[in-house]
Amino acid sequence: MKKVIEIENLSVFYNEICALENINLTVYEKDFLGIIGPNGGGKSTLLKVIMGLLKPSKGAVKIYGHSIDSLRVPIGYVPQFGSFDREFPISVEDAVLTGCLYGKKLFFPKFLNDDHNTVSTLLKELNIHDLRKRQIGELSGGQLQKVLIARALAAKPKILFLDEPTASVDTSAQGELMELLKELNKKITIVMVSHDIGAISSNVKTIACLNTQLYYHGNPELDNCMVEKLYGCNIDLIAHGVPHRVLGTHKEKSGKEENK
Amino acid sequence: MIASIFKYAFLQNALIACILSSIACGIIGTVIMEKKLVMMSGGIAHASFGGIGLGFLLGVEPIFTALLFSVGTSLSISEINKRSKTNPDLLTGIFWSVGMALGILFISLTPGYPPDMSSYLFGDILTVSRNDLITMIALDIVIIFLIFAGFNMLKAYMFDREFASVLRLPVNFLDYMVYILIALTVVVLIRVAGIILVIALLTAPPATARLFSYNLKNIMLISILTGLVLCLTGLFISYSYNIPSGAVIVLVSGAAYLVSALIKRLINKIRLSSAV
Ligand SMILES: Nc1ncnc2c1ncn2[C@@H]1O[C@H](COP(=O)(O)OP(=O)(O)O)[C@@H](O)[C@H]1O
Ligand SMILES: [Mg+2]
Repeated sequence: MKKVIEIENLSVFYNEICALENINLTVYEKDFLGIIGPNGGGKSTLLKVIMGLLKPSKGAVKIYGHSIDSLRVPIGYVPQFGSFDREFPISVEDAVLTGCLYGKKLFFPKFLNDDHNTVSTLLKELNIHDLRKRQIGELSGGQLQKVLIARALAAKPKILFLDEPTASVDTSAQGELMELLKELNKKITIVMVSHDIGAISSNVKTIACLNTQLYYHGNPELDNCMVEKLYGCNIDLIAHGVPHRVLGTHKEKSGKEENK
Repeated sequence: MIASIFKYAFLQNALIACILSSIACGIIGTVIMEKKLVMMSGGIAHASFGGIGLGFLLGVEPIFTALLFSVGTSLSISEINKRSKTNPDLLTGIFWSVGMALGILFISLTPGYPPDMSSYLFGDILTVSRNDLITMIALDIVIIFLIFAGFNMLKAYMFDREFASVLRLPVNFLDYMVYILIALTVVVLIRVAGIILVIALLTAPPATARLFSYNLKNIMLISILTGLVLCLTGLFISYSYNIPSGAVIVLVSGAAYLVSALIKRLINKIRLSSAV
């Protein structure tokens, strides 16, 4: 299988704070990788380094064998907290359309009919078509989240990164989003961060547990020891609601051992 | 006044300067407002005072040395900020005062009588020269071309630089473009409103326009028109009552923003009560 993302001996520091330590991780084509871990575990940081928004303090990241600066394929990104001003004068439609700017030239970039159709289809699929003329600040958290997802998809990405995309959307929308992602996953590689194991476990193909170090990477079958190690004692926090596949029977250690 | 316009070249120049500066202010002011670079722009204006002092000391046209200072300040603030993550507000404060101090130093070193600085500090649109106008026209052409041609990219970049960067849009180029355009605009406007007051011209029109539109392109266009009306009104009052133009234009701008905000509130109230 083709390697899409290769991370070697990666460490990231924010001044003195070590956010990621010696990470080694390879993601293959058409994988659906779920990254879980506690708050401050470095999940967002990992996504940002892979996408080139942050420079590694040590180690290297390659995508399709290239350094991120020489990469020639579109990447989609759904940020956890939009880094933008919600008061910015832009409509939902136009915000999503900015995703279509990938690969266009700086001066007189032309939006094609195709681009407008793509945007319109995405807005319909995500049930926000009737909001398309609204200013971006006039949306609820969940609606805004959907706009960010549509914007990322408008770039027709080969790899899609999502940072806690289900955090503020309601349950039915979460289900729809997962269906959409599964459909997309037939063609593209997806990396999704979540601190909600439930949201991830039943949908992803592989899972990575991150708390500064990479504790586990493999099948989405975790045992309680693993989870306890990752989260400290707060298993309650994770095991809310129905029992998940993630918390498989732990009489015998299931899943692969950590590759530390 | 209308009759005098045909008679006096200086009035014609002032009128043209109004139009040209409104264009620059409307477009670049909107960028400054949306990118939250108001304080930095104020800092650039003040730092360019150092350049004006240097011009007097070396005996060259002060506006040219001011341009060097403003572009230098603007790029330095953005570079230092990128590399060291120092708070841009702090950097602005430092460049702001160091630039002014350098200006005072250079002027005190200039032999002979100290030159009259008031037209640089407070602006005087009635003394705008032919050369000033040519500089303004050149700047306007550059601004209009870059913003018009790059509008969609600029909008995406201004909206969300991080996402634009993931899409591999030329965000670094856009950074430089925006910072340099701000520096150029600020200096060219110094002739009209002066170092101390220039920030009003860059903020009042877009702030007013923002009250009435949620569309970036329209905000720019409304800003240009607002700026033009304010500038012409200011010029008229300044000429009729013989008060320094910079101050009048700024006061008119402040008042206009206040009135617009009140009108906007009134409109909202009427809409609300008619909706019920
Ligand atoms: N901009 C930043 N400056 C300094 N420290 C940061 C910054 N962003 C994150 N950190 C630190 O890095 C660690 C990892 O953060 P993050 O990647 O956001 O975690 P997660 O997304 O898993 O919650 C945390 O300890 C956090 O305090
Ligand atoms: Mg995070």
